[in-house]
Amino acid sequence: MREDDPITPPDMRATIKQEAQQWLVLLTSGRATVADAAALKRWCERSELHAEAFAEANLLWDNIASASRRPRRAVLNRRTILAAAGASAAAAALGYFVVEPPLDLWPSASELRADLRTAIGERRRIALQSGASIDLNTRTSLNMPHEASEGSLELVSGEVAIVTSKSLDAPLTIMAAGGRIRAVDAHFNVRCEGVRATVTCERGSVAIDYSGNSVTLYEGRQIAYAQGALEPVVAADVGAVLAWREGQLVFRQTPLSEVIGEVNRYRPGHIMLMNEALGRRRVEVRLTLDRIDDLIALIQDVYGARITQLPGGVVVVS
Amino acid sequence: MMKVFEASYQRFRERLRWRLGSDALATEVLHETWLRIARIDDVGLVQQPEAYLFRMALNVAADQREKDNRKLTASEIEAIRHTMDGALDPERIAEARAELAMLRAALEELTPRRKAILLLARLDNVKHEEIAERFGISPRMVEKELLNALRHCSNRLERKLNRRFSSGPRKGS
Repeated sequence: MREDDPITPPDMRATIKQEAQQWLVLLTSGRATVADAAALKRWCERSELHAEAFAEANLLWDNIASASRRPRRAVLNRRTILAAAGASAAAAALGYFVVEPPLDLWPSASELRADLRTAIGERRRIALQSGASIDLNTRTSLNMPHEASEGSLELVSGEVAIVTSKSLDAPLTIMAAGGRIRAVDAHFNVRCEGVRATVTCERGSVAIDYSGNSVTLYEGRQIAYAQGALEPVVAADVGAVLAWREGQLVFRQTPLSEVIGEVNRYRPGHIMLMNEALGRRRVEVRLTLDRIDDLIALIQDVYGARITQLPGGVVVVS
Repeated sequence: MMKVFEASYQRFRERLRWRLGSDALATEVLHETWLRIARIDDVGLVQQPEAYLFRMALNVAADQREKDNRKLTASEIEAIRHTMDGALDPERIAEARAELAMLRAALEELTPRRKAILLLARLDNVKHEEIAERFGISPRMVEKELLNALRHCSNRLERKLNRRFSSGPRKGS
């Protein structure tokens, strides 16, 4: 809020702010095109004020998601869901159902074609009609299968744990960071950070195609890929990898800097580590996601670090 | 071929402006056409170079239109939404996060329909068209409801901020 600017009249600010919100509404309307994106870019380039107004509108949009995050509810019986959603033939054709209704008011099938997104710290479980189930971890974007993706899910970013069953007619396919992951009867975890993906197999086997190479991953194994190359398969601590599904974070002999990096994924705000030596200390810790700030108390009590709490969930560890 | 193109440039531009309805677009299309000609090593024997080139320009225009009309994907939208984040101070972002309780209260003040529309659009990424169908209103109305909801929330937060900063030191923009 910079109403102190001597040059720009307040009503012009108000106009720019409103236009920025109009752009945001158009952009997220489901009908925005490449041409719209180009026009929006030109609009933002008109002045710093325009760019800032658009950033503000998006900040509000992000925070509306956080502010209206719904408490996690019990997963409904699958039969109930199928019956409730049975009304929508379109939804049935798409072959998946969102188990948790998005709203108390409209627990219906309209969001079925929508992509799913979880906010910071949110976890959500969805069930596919095929019988597979997917847990979405914090900050995850998942595109549902549609014709253009040839029935494949797409993990845009974040982390999912997938359970598929023998009864699938065809393998479940999920794309992540340019790789294709297929499974028939398996429990596995996929994590996607930018151009890098990590796949961990808990049960059964998973086939991965990436950049012209293929590999089959078996129980207890993990593989990562990025920049056109598959990395070697390694043994994984599957319990620790998948602990998030039970609302836990498990670290075994992990440098504190990595622990903090991981905790930052789940926590609004940011923990900043200003002490390098402390960051190298290896820690053994189990955190409950609902009480993630326990880590801060732990660092303070166990390592005697100095903690400074700032507004907005920013914590400085020194 | 290049020579023919250069000689016919003005004529092409006028014809294209008439066809496409915009001089800027006509110029852009001609530029792209010129690049395409430059890439062709051997055009072979062309009976009517001018007609050939004009046809090529029209193809460029059609390609351009197709490209422009492609719908953005969810990940593209998400990336575009955050392109201007650098325009905000990190403190501003932290500050806004600290105001979630205030924002929650602002959301509660919305009419039930407005709130429901906002949450469907925001949390569940439902297209406006589908929301409109669900509520039996026009997509235009959905848009209006969303804009009203956004305006209400941002005004509520601004009022609070203005009070808080009214006596503090100011930053230039």
